Amino acid sequence: MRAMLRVALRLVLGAVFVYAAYTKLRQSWLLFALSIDSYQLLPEWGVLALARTLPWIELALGLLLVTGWLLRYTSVAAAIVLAGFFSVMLLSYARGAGIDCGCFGVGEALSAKTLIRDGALLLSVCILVWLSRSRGHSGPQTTERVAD
Amino acid sequence: MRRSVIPLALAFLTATLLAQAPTSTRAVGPIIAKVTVDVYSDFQCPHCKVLDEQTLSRVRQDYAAKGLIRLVHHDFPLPMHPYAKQAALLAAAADKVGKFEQVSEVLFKQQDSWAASGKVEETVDSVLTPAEAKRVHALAADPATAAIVQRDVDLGTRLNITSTPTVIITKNLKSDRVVGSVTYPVLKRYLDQLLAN
Repeated sequence: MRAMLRVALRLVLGAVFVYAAYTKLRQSWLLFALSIDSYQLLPEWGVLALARTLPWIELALGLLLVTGWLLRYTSVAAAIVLAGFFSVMLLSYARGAGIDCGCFGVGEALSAKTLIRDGALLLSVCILVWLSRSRGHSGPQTTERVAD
Repeated sequence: MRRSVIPLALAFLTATLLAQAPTSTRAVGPIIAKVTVDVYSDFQCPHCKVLDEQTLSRVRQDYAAKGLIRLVHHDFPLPMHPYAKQAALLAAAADKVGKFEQVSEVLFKQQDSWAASGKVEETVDSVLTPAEAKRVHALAADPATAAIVQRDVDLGTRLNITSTPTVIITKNLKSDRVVGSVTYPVLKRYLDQLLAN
């Protein structure tokens, strides 16, 4: 049961990360920079650096989650990234900023709906971290293959 | 012969109509510009103020006024802002007397003041002559002016706009939208990229 839940979570979260990366990489990186800029938290160089790198980080995390490779570490990294997103979104929402979420490409306003969605993803990745913390979960597991 | 007369007649008719139409400054830049930037804005929204004062004023000057892009203002007064619609009506009315830019500027500049006191008309009057002010008040009460604002609201609603400011950047019929206030240097990079391609 645990193994099945772990597989389901890593596949779903992996797909979400890959899709999030795809929506950003298929368009101009400067458009994503505008989304980051709307949060008004970073200087220009920080906005540009993050816009250039974040989609690739999301893609790498997504692929690692899907394959299950180094799951113990990947799940922690994904949790850190999602916790970062959630904190920034929560802060901006509390400030009343009517801004671009920037979650899946551009054009989606930050709202209670986007916060609930990101919160659900964060909760899921936390469960995945907990499920992956036991010994020997640094790679795809025999039990998972059996469960598959 | 007949084929060449029709386009000439159409061109003459268009030129005549354009010459007779009052010049609106809600849109700056040529209608045939390579890139169009549509801004859905609310005069009572603090982020719209930041966007207009720190970013759009420079975009207007550096791009739209030079004919590189077309920058269009659309009213999208949010129901949560009690004086936003009145401000939009007065700005639309001021456009009819050629004072949209001045009225828009003062509404954003003194937003904190009139949003607290409700003295929208007094704020607008401060940049108009007494005669202009009288005309603007009358035009703001005119259903035709309300129709202009409502047309923008309807358009924004059809485009699923839910918050302000929302900026829609269009090139070759492909549109991208950015929600919220963005800084000039980052927007400039994006506009330069669009214009260069």
